Parts: sequence; structure tokens; C-alpha cells
Amino acid sequence: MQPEPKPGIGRRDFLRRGAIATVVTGAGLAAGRSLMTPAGAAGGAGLPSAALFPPSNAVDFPTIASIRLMTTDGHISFPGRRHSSKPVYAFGFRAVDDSRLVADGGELNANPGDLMEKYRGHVMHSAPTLIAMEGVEFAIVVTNLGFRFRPDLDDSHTLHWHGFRNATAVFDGVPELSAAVPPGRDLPYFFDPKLPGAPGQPKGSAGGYMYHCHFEDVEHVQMGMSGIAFIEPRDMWFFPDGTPRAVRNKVAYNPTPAGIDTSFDREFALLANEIDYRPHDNLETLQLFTWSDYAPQYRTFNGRAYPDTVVPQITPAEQSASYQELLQMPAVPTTPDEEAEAEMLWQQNSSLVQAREGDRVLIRLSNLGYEIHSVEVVGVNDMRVVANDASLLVGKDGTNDLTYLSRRMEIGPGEARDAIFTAPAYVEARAEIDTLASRMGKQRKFCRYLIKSRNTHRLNNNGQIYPDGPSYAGAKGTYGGMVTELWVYPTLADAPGLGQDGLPDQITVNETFPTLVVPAGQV
Amino acid sequence: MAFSTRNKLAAIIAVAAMAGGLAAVTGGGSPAGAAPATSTVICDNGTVAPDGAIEYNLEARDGYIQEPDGNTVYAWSYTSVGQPLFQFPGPTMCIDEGATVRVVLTNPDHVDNLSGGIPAATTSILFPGQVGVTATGGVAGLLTQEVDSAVPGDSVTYEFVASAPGTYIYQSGTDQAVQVQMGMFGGLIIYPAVGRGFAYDGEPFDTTHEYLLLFHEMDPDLHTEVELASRNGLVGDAVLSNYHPLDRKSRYWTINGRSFPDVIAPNNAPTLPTQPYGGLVRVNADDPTDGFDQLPSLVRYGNAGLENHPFHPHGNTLRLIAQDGRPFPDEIEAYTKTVAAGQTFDLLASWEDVEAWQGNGAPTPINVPALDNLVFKGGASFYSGDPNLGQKQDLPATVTSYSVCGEYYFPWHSHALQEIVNYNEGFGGMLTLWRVDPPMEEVSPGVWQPTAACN
Repeated sequence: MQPEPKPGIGRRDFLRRGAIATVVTGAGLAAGRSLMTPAGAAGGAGLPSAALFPPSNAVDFPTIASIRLMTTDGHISFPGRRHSSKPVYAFGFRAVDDSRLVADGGELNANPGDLMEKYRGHVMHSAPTLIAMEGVEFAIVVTNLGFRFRPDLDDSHTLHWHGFRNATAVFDGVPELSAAVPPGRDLPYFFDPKLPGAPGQPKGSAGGYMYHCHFEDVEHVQMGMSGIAFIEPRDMWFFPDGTPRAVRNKVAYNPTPAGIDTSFDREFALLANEIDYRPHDNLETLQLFTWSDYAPQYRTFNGRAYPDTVVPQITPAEQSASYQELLQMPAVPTTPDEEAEAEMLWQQNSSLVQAREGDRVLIRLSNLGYEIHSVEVVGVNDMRVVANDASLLVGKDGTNDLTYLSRRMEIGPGEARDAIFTAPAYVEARAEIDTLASRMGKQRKFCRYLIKSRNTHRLNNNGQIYPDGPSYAGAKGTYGGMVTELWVYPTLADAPGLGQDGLPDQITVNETFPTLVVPAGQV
Repeated sequence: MAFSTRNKLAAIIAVAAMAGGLAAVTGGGSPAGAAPATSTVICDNGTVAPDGAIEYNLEARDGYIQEPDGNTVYAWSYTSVGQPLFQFPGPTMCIDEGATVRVVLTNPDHVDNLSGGIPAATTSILFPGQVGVTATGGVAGLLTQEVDSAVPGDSVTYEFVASAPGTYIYQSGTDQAVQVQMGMFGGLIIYPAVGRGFAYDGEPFDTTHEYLLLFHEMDPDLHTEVELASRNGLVGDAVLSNYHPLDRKSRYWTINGRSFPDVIAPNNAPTLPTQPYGGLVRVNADDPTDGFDQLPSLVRYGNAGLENHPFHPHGNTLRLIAQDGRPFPDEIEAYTKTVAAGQTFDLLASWEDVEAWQGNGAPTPINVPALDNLVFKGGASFYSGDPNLGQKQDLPATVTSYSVCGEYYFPWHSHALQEIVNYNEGFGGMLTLWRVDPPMEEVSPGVWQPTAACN
């Protein structure tokens, strides 16, 4: 049975531009973003009393805000392990390309069998970034498509929202303590991100989280089943009196009596991780791995190793256009840059940070690798760490400001930090031509800064730097691995000649400009 | 940090209600005996000397511990004098603020690898975090006085005044790369003067739910080198001839000396005769509407290992109140906390029944699929079969259920996920479970008890 959509809760645009997935949609705000009804009105009462999933696998989709994540396998690319040579076998989550109901021409509630042909074997790593809204119930439906390259494996999967407050065991995604999704089946996970002041939750739910599969966790997480998740604060979309805001209020956390400033101009999410290709290779070739031997060769941001980290965001449209040609890619390499962009087809999440001088830049860092990392923005001395593990650094009663200035974020596996810094100076004397903009017919210059791990002995790509030849977009330095770049542009007032194509307003996390389209015919 | 008599009353009621059932909170020093099945901290309160000092008589001992993959590992630790069996880790010392503490350490002759002392030339105890520790007797070592195994009956007496409440570890101060790796450590708790129901001044907790989680990791190859050398009659430096700390590669990760799933076996489990301390953490859920103010559980982390461990509690964000036995000026929340080698943290754990699903069987806003369409890993599950706390449904006929009364279970584990294996076997290692029981029930006006079906 297919329940009718609840009036007022649309499902369009779950997948926003840049492969950013959101679980909040609807009608109405000037910012191009809209809201569901406030918590309480969204769930529970009035829901159709649908039967449990019948064995036929017809999907009874939840009538609250929903997103569908599919699990499968595929191959991902690192310097020295390219699609054209020997890509790295991976497992992962990915969203459907068109998150509308089947009745509207989408795939949100399609039968798993209908999704397998298209998506099985086309993994994404890191996983799509999930964005939920404080006070709005939502569901994540996990569909196990099975593996294309190891069809003999019948691994189940789960989804664990890492750090969710007052979690419910059945929706916590630990297979030994709840249930797991076998190939061909679905399991919806329900989440209710409480507002500030809910029992036991004075601060509410807003903040930076992560998610991953917990089935055979040491294997599936390393194999690539990891991503970032956010809960946006109520104050971003509502005034304190409950009136909806016409324009998105760019704040990371709700206001407190301590008066901590969490406002930002541009926001970026970085998921620290590592890749030890040996278990990946072993899985592909039917071998076992001794997990206590873990010793990675690549360190990554958002599933990519530098210089791939600065390749712009890959859009679902680009991915959708290339299903049949994946294994031939890149068919027509033209320039090193275009080749690198094609290589990142299944690692869609860019780590390139672009801002104007003086912008308040919010970095949301989390770590789903197995090592502790020390991440710094070279040239930025006063970075303010405002939150720890999705919790604003404010004391118990909201009056003590516990935020701190630092030059780095030290971050252990499973931890998260939110930090805000002021974009450093644009210095004309050392500015470079933005070749990405040039390719789109725009003139722009920027100053290049590095965001990187300070654990510099790890900053290489399996012992080399650029094993595939020239670096991407003129990436600098003798680094590989957990490195990305901050490109600082002049303010419009300072450089009217070069800034007329200046950075547009950022709509989504990690949205970098320009978003390049992989040339037709190349893939 | 607020304290109300109402909280204290609730704690007292809770203690009264659980009396007998969880009496091991104040149990004696010996892990032997028929203690009830619980995992709350086992306190060794020492003995009161004629001069009023709290006295512990410890000896360095060796023996074997078990790993869940079937391996046994040769280890060293501290054990109370007179206790027949070696224990790993050493006894948990529980001391009240202001007490004078006297610890006498000996290292008996190494007889064989099952009885007697350790085959080391010297050994000692350090008390990191304690102020004004004096050490008398023995021989002078690098960090403190050490017991000399060449001198029969040699002993060192360590003495200090327990001045700062909190969670500490004690450990060997001799050849630490070897002796701490081999297991020479234990937990030390100092309760504040205001009473044992408080972590620090004015921070009350549910005294029936107090837990100590001591982290450690081992390379069994190093232990085997020491074992073989000592079996061949080598002692002192010679026993370490093939022991190379630089080659260390951890294979087993432990909580309270056990690897998962042994971690969740109860205290003094007869199947683990030399590993008496369990690590299952429990809490009674708080029902915000029932009028009973459920106090949080107190969890004490201590990393006695040589590596840092990022420990991730599922189920809820915890409240960090202290580090290394020193309270924070205000509490900090965390859903993962990297515990550095030698570091301790005190955390308050609570679980709020925010969805009000418990008890009334209210439906979840989405439909959970028929359980026959899902997979229960390994044919057994801690899942109750019902999303609601305190409710239980049948699992598919082929699946074994571990659920007692519809309680929730969440894993608490190192998020360096290669550390939650036993060598190469997953869902093991540095992992324990958090058991969330339904809220307390009011059995008569003002008297609250845990749900009977959950005991």
C-alpha cells in the first residue's frame, strides 16, 4: 500500500544541488528553502495505519520527511590507484538521484529490485551529507542493493547516526542490538531531533554529527560507509517567537545567555578518514584481513586524498550521465584537471574552501578514521572552536562561554568539532589566476592557503606525492593525503576589476564555485 | 553544580530498593565468593591500621588471563596478599577524602608462572595525581623506591593522604614499557568528604550505578616472550632479552582486563577466575513525566594502556565533569572522548525517555518491517523485538533473544574500530554495552523501585 503524502510535506528537492541531501522540504521561504510544520504536528497523529512490510518488498514509505540511502559496492580513486589503472574496491551509501515519489516520476519509494540495475556497483564515498532540522521528525530508509563485484557476499547493512541524543535501540543501527538490512530489503530509521529545552536536552539537538554502517563495523566503515550529518538549529529558520524567517539565519547553534557568536558567512564540512587499501584489495580478491594489522596508506578529507580534495563538487547529474561508461572512464582525457574531475565521479564531496577576505568561515570537522588527527589552517592563528560533539561549548546553565581560541583542531575517531575563523588576507602580490573560473569564462584571482593535518609524516599518497603526474589546479607543496586548500578572494570593494564574478552566496554546505560540469563525451 | 535533597532522597530510596541485589558496591577486597551478578565497581576498602590509616597489602603476581578468541595470555599484576589467585587488573582501591593511605608492596619469589611473584628484578607503584606520596624501604629507582627481588621479603611502603576526590589509576613506576604493558595497574577512587553518593562536592549520582572502566591494550607476542623466558628460569633483565617494545603491535584491547564479550560477564564470573571485574554499564531511564528525579549513573574512565583510545558511548551524549581527578569548572558534553594514556575522566550518564514510548506501547511514527524480513546477526540478538522500552516481542523462531524485559542495549566502544576486535575477530576488544532499563516504578506512595521483571 502506498500511503498518500501528508498535505504540506513535500518531498521535492531532497537532493539539493551538489549532492547534498536534505531531509527537510516543503513550500515557501525566500531563500529557496522551506520548512515542514513544527515538531509535534509532523508525526504520530493522522498517519495511515499501514501494515508491516509485506515479503513482496513493496515499500511502505514513511509519511514524514524522508530520504532514501542505498548500500552497495564499487570503486573509488586515489593518486596512484586510478579508475584507469587499479581503483580501490569500496562499500558505501548513496542517495537516489531523484528523491521524488514514484508517482511524481522519482525513485524515493521504488522497489529495491528496480533500483539494483541502475545503482548496484556505483558506490559513493564519502556518503551523501545529511542535513536535518531541529524539531522536525524525519526518516532515513536504508535499502540494501547488494554487491555487484562480490555477488557471493550477502552482507547486511545498518545505519548508525553517531551521537544522536537519547537514541532508541532499534534505530541505533547496531546489528547485534537491533536488526540489519539484508540485500533486497529496506529498513526505515526514525529520528526525532528535539528542540532546546526538551527533557534532558537543554541545548537541543543542533550540531555536527556523522553516520556510518555498524554491520561488521571495523570492515564496513573502513570500506567507505561513512558520511557527515547535521542538525540545523531552530534559530536558523525561526525567530525566537516562532515566526519563520524569510532569510536563512546563518548560525551554527541556537543563541544562549552567554552570547556566543556562531554566525558564519560560508560553511564547510570535512570528514577526516584513512584508507588502508589492503583490506579493500583482499575483499575484492576473496581474501581475509587481520584488522589489528590496520596501517593506512592514504589519509583523506571527504573521501579524497590531496590534490583530489580540491576538485569541485560532483553533481548527481554528472553521476547519472555516466552509469554505463564507468569502467571506461576517463575515455577522453584532455587536461590533467579534467581527468582528475572525471576520476572523482564517485567521490562527489569536495573539500575546497572558498571565501572572501574577512568572511567568517565555519569548518565542521569530524573523524571516522581510526587514527587521531591534528588539523590546522595554515596562516590562521585565531580559530575559535565553538562546539564539541554537536554541543555548543557553553556551560550547564548556558551562561559560561567555554569556547576557545586555537590554531588547530585535534580530533579523535568519532569526535566532531565546529570552528569559526576569519578568512585571512587576500594579498595581490601573491594572488593566482583562478583557472577553474577561467574555464567558465570568468576572471578571478585568489590567494591560496592550506588546511591540513599537522601529522606531516602521513601527508603523502602511499609514500608518494603526485604519482599520476601534474597536480590538480596547480595544487602546491610536497603534500598528499589529508590536505585541502582555502582560496581567499578579494572583497568586491577591494578588487572591482577582478571580483565582478565574485563568489556567489553559498546555499549548501561545501558548495564551492565554480561547479564544473564534466564535459559531455568524456564519460 | 546543583544539589537538592530531593536528589539525595531519590538516591537513598534507590539504594534501599536495590539493597541485597547489588550489595557488591561495598563488597570486600577479595574477588572470590558468591557475589551477585552485577558489574558495578567492586571496592577494596582496605583494612584500618591501628593508627587509623587505610592499609593495603599488595604483592606483584603473575598468571594467565583469557581472551574471547580462546587464547590465554601470560600477564603480571597486583594482587592482595593472601588471595589465592592472581587477579588482573589490580584491586580497585576505594578511599574517602582525608584518609591516610598506606600501601605495602612485596614481590614474592617467582615460583612458576601460576604462583608467586613476577620474574622482574625490581618493581614498584606510582600514584599519579596524589600529592606528597612517601616511599620507604626497598631500593632507590628512577621514579620511586622499588622492591628488590634479590632481597628476600623486601618491601616498600607508600603513604599519602587522599586529598583530592576523583578517579585515578595506580601503576608500576619501574620499566614501565614492560610492566604496565604486562598489566601492573589498577584503579583508585577517592570519594569526597560529602559522601560516597557524590563524585565531587555536590555532584550526586545513583550509587547503585557506579562504574569504573579501565582501558588497556596488549601485544600477546611480547607477553609470550616474557612467558617463555621465565619458564626457562630467567629472571630480572634476562627475562626481557627478546622483549622489544618498539615492535609492539596491539592485538587485544581490554576494559577492566577483559575483552568483549567477556567484558559484559558479571563481576567475579566463575568462567574468568583471574579477571574479576565486569564492565557492563547500566542506567535506569528517566521518565520526565513520572515525578521521580532519576539520578544519573557515574562512569569513571581510566586509560591504563600505553595508547590513546577514543571511547564512544552510544545512546546519549555524556556529561564530562572531571579529568585526571580534577573537576572541570563547568560540565562539557561529548559523544566521543579520546582518553589519553594515563588519563581519567568522570562522566554522568543518563537516558531520558523523550519519546514516551515506554510502557504504553505507543506506536513509532514509522513502520518497522516485519522482523522476518530483517537479519539478526549471528542468530542471536540483544534486541527486544519491540521499539518501545520495556516491551518485548518474539524474535523470529531461529533467533535467540538476550532481552530480559524489553530493556535497551547500546554499545560503548573505542571508535578506533580496529580496537574492537579480538586479534581479527570483530565485535570484540574494547567494547562494552550500556543497558538502559525502564524507569523506576512507584510501588507505593513515595517508594520507587526498578521494574521487577528487569532484575
